[in-house]
Amino acid sequence: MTDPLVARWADAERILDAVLDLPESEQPAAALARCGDDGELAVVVRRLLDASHADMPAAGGLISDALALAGGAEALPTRVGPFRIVRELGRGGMGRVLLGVREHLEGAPRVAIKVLDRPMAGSDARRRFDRERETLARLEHPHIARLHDGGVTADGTPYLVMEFVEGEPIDRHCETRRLGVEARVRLLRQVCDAVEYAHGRLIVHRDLKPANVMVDAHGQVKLLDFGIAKWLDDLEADSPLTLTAHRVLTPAHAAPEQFRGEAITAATDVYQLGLLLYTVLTGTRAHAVDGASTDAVRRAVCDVDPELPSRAVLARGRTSAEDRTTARHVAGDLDAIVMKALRKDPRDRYATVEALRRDLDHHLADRPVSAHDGTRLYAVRKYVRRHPVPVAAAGGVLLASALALVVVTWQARATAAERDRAVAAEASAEAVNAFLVNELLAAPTPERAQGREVTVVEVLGQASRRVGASLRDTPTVQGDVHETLARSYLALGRHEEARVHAREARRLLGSGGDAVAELRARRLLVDVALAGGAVKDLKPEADAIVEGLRTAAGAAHAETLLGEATRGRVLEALDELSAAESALRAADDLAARSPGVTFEARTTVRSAFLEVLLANGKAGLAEPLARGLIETMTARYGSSHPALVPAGRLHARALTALLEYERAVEATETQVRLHEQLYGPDHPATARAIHDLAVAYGRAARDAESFATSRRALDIRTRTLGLEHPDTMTSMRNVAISLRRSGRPAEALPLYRLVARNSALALGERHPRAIRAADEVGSPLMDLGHVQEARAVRRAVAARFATAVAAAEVDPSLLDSYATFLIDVEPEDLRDPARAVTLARRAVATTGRTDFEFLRTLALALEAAGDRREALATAREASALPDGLQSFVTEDLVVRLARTVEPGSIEPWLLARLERLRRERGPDEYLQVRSLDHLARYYAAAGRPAEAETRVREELDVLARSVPPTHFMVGSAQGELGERLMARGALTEAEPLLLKSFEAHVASRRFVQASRVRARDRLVRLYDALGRPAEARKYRDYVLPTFSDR
Amino acid sequence: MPTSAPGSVTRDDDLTARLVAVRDGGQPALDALFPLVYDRLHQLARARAAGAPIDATELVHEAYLKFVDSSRTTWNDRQHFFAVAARAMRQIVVDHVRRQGAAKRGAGFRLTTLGDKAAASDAAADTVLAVHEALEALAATSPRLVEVVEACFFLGLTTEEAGEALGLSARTVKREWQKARMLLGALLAPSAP
Repeated sequence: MTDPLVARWADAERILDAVLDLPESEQPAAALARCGDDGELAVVVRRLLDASHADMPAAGGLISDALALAGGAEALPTRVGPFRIVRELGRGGMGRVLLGVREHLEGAPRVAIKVLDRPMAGSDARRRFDRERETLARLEHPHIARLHDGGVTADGTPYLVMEFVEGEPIDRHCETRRLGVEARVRLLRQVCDAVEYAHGRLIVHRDLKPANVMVDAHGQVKLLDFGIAKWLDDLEADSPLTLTAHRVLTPAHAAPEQFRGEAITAATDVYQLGLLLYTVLTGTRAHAVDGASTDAVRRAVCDVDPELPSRAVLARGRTSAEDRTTARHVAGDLDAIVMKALRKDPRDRYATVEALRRDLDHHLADRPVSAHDGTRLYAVRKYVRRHPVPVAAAGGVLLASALALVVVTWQARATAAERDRAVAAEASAEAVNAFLVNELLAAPTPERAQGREVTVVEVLGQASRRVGASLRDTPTVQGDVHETLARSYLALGRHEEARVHAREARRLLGSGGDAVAELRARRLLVDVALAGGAVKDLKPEADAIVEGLRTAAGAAHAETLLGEATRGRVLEALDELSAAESALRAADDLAARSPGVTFEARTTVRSAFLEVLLANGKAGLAEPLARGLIETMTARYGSSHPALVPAGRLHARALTALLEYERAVEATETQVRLHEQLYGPDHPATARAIHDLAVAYGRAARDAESFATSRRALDIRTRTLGLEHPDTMTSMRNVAISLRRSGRPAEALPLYRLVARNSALALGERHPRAIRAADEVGSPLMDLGHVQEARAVRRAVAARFATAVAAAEVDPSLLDSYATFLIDVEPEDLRDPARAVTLARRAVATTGRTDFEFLRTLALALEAAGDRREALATAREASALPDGLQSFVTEDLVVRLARTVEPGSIEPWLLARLERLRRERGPDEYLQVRSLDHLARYYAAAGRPAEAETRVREELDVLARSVPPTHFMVGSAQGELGERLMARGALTEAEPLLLKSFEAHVASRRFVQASRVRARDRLVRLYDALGRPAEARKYRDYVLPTFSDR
Repeated sequence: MPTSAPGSVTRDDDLTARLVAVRDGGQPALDALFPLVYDRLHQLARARAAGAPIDATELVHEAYLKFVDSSRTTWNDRQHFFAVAARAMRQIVVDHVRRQGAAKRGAGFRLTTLGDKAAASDAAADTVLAVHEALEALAATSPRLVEVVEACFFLGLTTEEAGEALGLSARTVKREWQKARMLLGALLAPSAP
């Protein structure tokens, strides 16, 4: 008696095929119409259509049971403890689960009894088992299956008695009921609720997987086996046969730390919740581990990032419209939530289950989720981790490293926006995120498909072309994207493109009604102009922006502080260093004191402050701050992050300024390499690092390298910034100085002229740097013997200084420059020491006697004016300041003045200075060389030759530890020691020293001609004394090379 | 027939050879393959019995990876293997259900209380048998539908996986599976005569 359903199936199927594509409401009529007069068929079709909504009964559990038993049926125990066994429910890694009922108890609920497949040894283990069981038994939560009881059977097998849950595993529940994405998320939310509750009681599940998450007929979740995994581990640890502390119960559901044998914490549950969510959303596993060995699973779990859930949905083969809907729903928030929960490093995941649950709530309520925070940074961090040394290609900056810049920039913005907590701001941040992530990180370009690295310029170009089209309806989001693009181009040194996008951002954000956003866009324009070297008229706008931000957002707001940083940099570019320094010092203090300020704002302000300190000759203050900045950033980003490169450069510059030659050269060479890798060879930032290196070589007296390096910096700057950019001028000036030093004034002259002209164009006629540049044209003219012309130049400069200082508001650096000019200008008739003293006093007063350079200028002016006593006091005061410590000029000045004014003070002053140098800068400090040299000379003059010799030897020791043997100071000290030895008749010991000293004097341009003559005369005296007339004659007749004076 | 110790991994040349033979041999070769696959699935299940829980899909994937020398097979062979495995799985489950039923009746307790998991399980057992019988009846007229039910119901494959295993488009599988569920749902509905 075959059911007509089966008998008539062929006919019924034909009809179904014809109508199933119709809308559901039209199907019955259409189907019945096709049955014609066939009554039986009509009944069959009606039954089929009615059944279409009914659920197919699940067979899964039964199938697993069948398989388990098919493998070799094991006899069921009839009883376990006081329970009668009904049947087996399943098997797991820990044993079997049986359905039981308490005997002799009417109406008792059925229970699930977990019988473990290993006996428990010892009473200790037994006590622990009881204690653990009691803890677990106290978990009372609607979504956690209760642990009722437990015990040990007569044969020593432990068992646990738990609430019997009727239902099916969560993944199967979702599939059979074809639940929508939202319903699935709601189920996961229940799971989170339960796990959160248990975590509050310090119980971790650590074996969360679909089989342990049951859903009953009412859609209520019940978690099985809470805490059992931990308990099992303890049990294992008691067994003498097992050595492993943890074991992975279910490899496919294990977290990386479980494989690595690391601590199992709440973060492990977060991971497993992520896996669960992944499976529930996609119907697939996060890692393809079917049939793979545990090792393969371990590798997949620990090293391979799972595919995004939304892509996994589409990757299951040919996709349906339903899949595409699911993928759309999952893409974005849910992708981000899952991936954040699944991070390999527990610290990168949600900190708590609560945080994960809150994100699910946010998603369900259509609010922004937190999972996106730090996503790009995370992605970049990972990329950088994988590619620790980005490789620069000829075609431009590679995506990886440049993206890091882009993303760091964007990150700074996103967190700033986050502070406002305005929903609109968040929504907009999210939209920008989406655009950037899609366009920059994930855009499938043909190049990427071919595995070729794409330059960021290409990707940015592509993104730029699409902003307008894809974000037409959301002008503020579009503005934000333009802003980010502008910052990206800025980071790439593409100032033209940056300007275009910055203008767009200004236009779009200016009409959005958000004052802070508008001011941010204006700041961006200032940053772009600053980078392009158009600094002349920026100050009023920078002031206005800071004022506006203070009003709109408050002084301690991240955006305001970023505005301060920009303004500080504008002031620095204008050489208003004192104003820049005090403004940035205040901003830096405020940033450090205000807990709400973002990390990025804080480091940006700190970097700007460091720049100005260095520009202002305060490397002593800057060096420890730069080191601190690097440490802070390393703690935040890891040691290989590109954001550290600029900070490293600041530190290297500080070392150079502190005359730590070896370290400085080494650090700066490293910086050049890093910049080339990060920015590519043709980038303004790279040119800046190369420029720093030229300075470091110069300080280390490696003149040839310094010259070549300056030329390189000049080449790149001319190409990337143009001939009129202030930075190009700086490089050109350095090249000019080098040329002049190597005795090529004719080649230097046109460069000096160009620097003077362009500095006036860029900075204005009255700018101190422009005037100084004009002044410098006089030097090569003098070299070339064009005295009249040089005189004319200097007169004009004097006039310009006079006009400039007559202005209402005068920067102290202008006063200082003018004073310096008046002290030693050639021709002498232009000198005016009295005026210099007045000007220097003004500069010193403006800065509250804290600026060592201004104090030194005042001391020099006082010396020139004949007031040697006050000059000495002032020079000592300058030298006592933190940054006075490394000034040779100041030390020389003090010693020179003391010789006539207060000779008795020289020795104690030098000894105190020496002690301070060693205390503050360490025993290898190069600076003590000068003090030792001064002391030796002092002792020699004072008739204390033994002490003099000791000090010179000490000097050579320090030099051997701090500079290369070719350094000119070594030659100088060798000459001094030879002199001392000769004086006490140790002629043979003196000979090699004096020969080396002479060679050094001939080879280096660092010596004045007088000391070169002295080095030659020492040899003549030596060979006379040794009675070797031929050699004495040879040196007496030696024609010394002449170098033009500096 | 060569059998290996539970849990050990052994490429089965015989199995692989027969699988390859299906390429040319068609249905007869397919039928010859059946007992081998059935046996291997049993064997794997036995190896697993003391360990991890068993998932039908996983088991078949594992069987393929462990026993078939993939260097000698093609994608089509893999499809055949899965198709045969789905049928074998159906047989394993039906055998089990029949044994269980006999055991219960023999043991003298057959729980029928509604809402009881055991009862639900018994209902599932009835379902499985009913589905099996319906498939028997449809084997001649609707072989494709039978295959889809074997893959989706007994093997637990998703429609995409089933499509791959059967060499059908996912759309076809979905449509077949939809009709199958209508048919089976109607057959098993309480209102059925």
